[in-house]
Amino acid sequence: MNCSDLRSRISELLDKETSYTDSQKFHLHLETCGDCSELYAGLEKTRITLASEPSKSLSADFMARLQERIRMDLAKGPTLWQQLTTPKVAGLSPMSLSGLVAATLSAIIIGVSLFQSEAAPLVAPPQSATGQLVPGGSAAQPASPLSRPVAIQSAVPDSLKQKSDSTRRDFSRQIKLVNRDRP
Amino acid sequence: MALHEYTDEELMERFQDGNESAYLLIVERFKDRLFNFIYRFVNDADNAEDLVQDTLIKVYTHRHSYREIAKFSTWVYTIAGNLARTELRKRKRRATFSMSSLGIGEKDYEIPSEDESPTKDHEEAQTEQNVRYALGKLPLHFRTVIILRDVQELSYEEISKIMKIPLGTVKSRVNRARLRMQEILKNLDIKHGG
Ligand SMILES: [Zn+2]
Repeated sequence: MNCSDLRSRISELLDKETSYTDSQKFHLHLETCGDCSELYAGLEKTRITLASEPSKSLSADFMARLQERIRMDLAKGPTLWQQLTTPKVAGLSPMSLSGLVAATLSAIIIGVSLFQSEAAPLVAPPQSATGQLVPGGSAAQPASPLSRPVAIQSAVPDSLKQKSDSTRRDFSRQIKLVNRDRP
Repeated sequence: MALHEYTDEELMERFQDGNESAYLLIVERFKDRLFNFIYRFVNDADNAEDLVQDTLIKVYTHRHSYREIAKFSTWVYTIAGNLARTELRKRKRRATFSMSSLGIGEKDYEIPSEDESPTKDHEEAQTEQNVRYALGKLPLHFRTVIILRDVQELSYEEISKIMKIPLGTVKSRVNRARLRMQEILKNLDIKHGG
């Protein structure tokens, strides 16, 4: 057992997941190697620190605020978000090319304006729950409207996200023109 | 059987059947854990609290997309982890060099100073602060496994499900992440002349 053998598996030792024989080899090395035993002590200390509660805790009105938000959420009905993301985007295929371009541009504009809005997220934009991970691997998730905003968001080029309001207005005007020219 | 004797999964089933008390009990069980989890990502208590609320609201509104094939904790950590990561990405996009106190990026994690948290034992507070700093310096894929393993103390199997990566990958990633953290802490000691 040398230093790099030990370091590549030092987590096992920390998690007490090594076999008895391996663990003896590890400890023998630790007893004779200052660097590794210092490293091990550091790892243990860090783990204890991480496992201890943070000094901050939830505010006293957490539950009340949560219930209030749920109540408001229920009272709201379908959000603008849901209205925007349900039927139309999915039905792009039969459109003419210019229609496709216009729809894509509209999606970009919608994406830009929604994602730039800082005031909105009383309830965070629903794309948040998707990302790389799908809760519970549930079959319902990929088909849920929640997965769509990600597609819209990623369709927004980075250069566009940074555009000023006036640039966006110019852009909207161009879209109106495109729409007007559509057959 | 009283509600509080149910497992998380059983409570979720009651909640799916319309029992709101079951939901409140789930919230009670998870709110602090989720706060601790998210706080370690975003390093800002107010922001973390909002994200805990967002998570729990999603549990409420998406209760029917939960299937009992997964542990409830896996599901809820997945939601919370995604919200935290989305928040970090938003900040990264927003961080046009602002010195906002919120971020996790290079600019936002100041090298911890020696004189904060006067109420805590000095050395303990310093260690806590350094560890938080080192955690914030880790790349997100390393930070995530450390938070799940060492903060939340979840099993490797559960982390593998939450992150959707093979068990062996989780183990080697945790190992590398822990070693990287020690390097960061060591460099910090050198900077402080400790
Ligand atoms: Zn060694």
